[in-house]
Amino acid sequence: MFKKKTPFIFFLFFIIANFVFWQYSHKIQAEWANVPPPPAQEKASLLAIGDKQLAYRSYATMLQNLGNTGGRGMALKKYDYEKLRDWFFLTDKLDPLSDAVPMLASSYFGAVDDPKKIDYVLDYLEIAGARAEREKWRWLAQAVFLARHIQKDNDRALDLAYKLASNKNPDMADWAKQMPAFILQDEGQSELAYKIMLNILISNIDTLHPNEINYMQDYICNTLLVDLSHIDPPPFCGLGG
Amino acid sequence: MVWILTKYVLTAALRDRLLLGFFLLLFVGVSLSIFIGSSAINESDQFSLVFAASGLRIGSNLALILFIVFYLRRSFESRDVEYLLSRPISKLQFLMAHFFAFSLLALMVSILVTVTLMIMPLVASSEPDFILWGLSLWVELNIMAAIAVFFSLVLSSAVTASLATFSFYVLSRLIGDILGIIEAGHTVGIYALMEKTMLVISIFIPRLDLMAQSAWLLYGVTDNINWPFILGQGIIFTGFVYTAALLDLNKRQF
Repeated sequence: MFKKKTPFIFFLFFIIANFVFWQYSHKIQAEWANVPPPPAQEKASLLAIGDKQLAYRSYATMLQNLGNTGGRGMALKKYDYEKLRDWFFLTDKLDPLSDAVPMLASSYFGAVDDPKKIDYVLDYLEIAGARAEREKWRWLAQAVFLARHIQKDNDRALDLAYKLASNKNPDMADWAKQMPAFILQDEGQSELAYKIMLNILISNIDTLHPNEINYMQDYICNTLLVDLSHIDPPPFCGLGG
Repeated sequence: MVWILTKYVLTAALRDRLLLGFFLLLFVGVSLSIFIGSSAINESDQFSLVFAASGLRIGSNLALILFIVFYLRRSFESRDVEYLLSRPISKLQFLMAHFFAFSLLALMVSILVTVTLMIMPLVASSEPDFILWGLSLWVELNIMAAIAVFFSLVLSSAVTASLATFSFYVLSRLIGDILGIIEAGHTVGIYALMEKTMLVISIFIPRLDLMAQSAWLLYGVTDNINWPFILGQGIIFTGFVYTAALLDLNKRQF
């Protein structure tokens, strides 16, 4: 009789022991260890057994969800941005054509509440946005926006704007080429801004859209030249420009 | 006789529900990939496609390897092989029939996977190269089928043969990275010896890291991989492994 019941007693004991253990364990959460250090470049695709594209997509998914897993929500300012920058550069080596990580860096991690941390994002966007392929220049334009309007660092913004203007993509928007002039004018260097705008207008007059020409003429005549009384206005300013 | 044996192996695949199981794998794999890909804040279609392609590539290999290993070990244990070899068929013909059957299965699997990827949600790819990717997957499956046959003949346990084949597959996928690390590093002492050993081993490992790359589905083939390279590696390596398997089979006493 006793022998027959023994397994049942053991079973009951382990069920109760399991419940007691669960009472202790179910509240334990793994501690967030912040951004992990990225692997070395030559070992980066080992995780995806040799498929670089799969490694890129896996890392991008990991970066997007970092700090927001298991019901946890971590503020961006608590992230280690220096390590994040290393991750950005690693993914850039795995796939320099994709826009997934540049988008993540500029629009998600760029929204951090600590302007100093944006420096790390800018370091990456400066490289990712300098390429002539596809529409990579847009990430450099985003970097100029972050530096100028979020960080209020016009020196960095101007430096990035010059790099943006020198992008070799023939399909780059005209406003991107004009970016240094906008910042220079904001900095009080209207004469330099005037020269840049006039140069763009003269050298691209055959290819610019009429609306763009009208805008540039208006900007030169009614914004830049207002502060430059010593300069003779170009002829188009007398034609209602 | 070769064709009859080929049909016999294909029937065994149907009986083992290989294709049915693969359809299920295809459905679950694509659904999961779309689910995970859709959580990305941009390029969701690209994420889904890469996850599906990579997952189905591994899944195809697993399905084929498991079928081959367990089918062959079962055939040995139930003395089917002895019975077949007692018929007017040489050991070479026996192996050729299996090669044709496994190659046909690999072709069916490759076509299924490639067509599924092609009809997945439209991807804003510049020049996707689905055909070369599909061809490359077929060649990769042929190579792994040859390895599975070899280990099934050499090792007497289905579990160890499966594990050996999977390990070989992982090594073949990582060999490019391993060679890259050796190329980049300047090691001394025992590590230098290990490097040399690994270099020698790499002679007998196919470069599967260069085959069926998921980046081809997004940007087309950007490296210098082309169909002669893929077919060349497939023919040389498959021939090499089947020859080794034939040598082993010839030495056996039935």
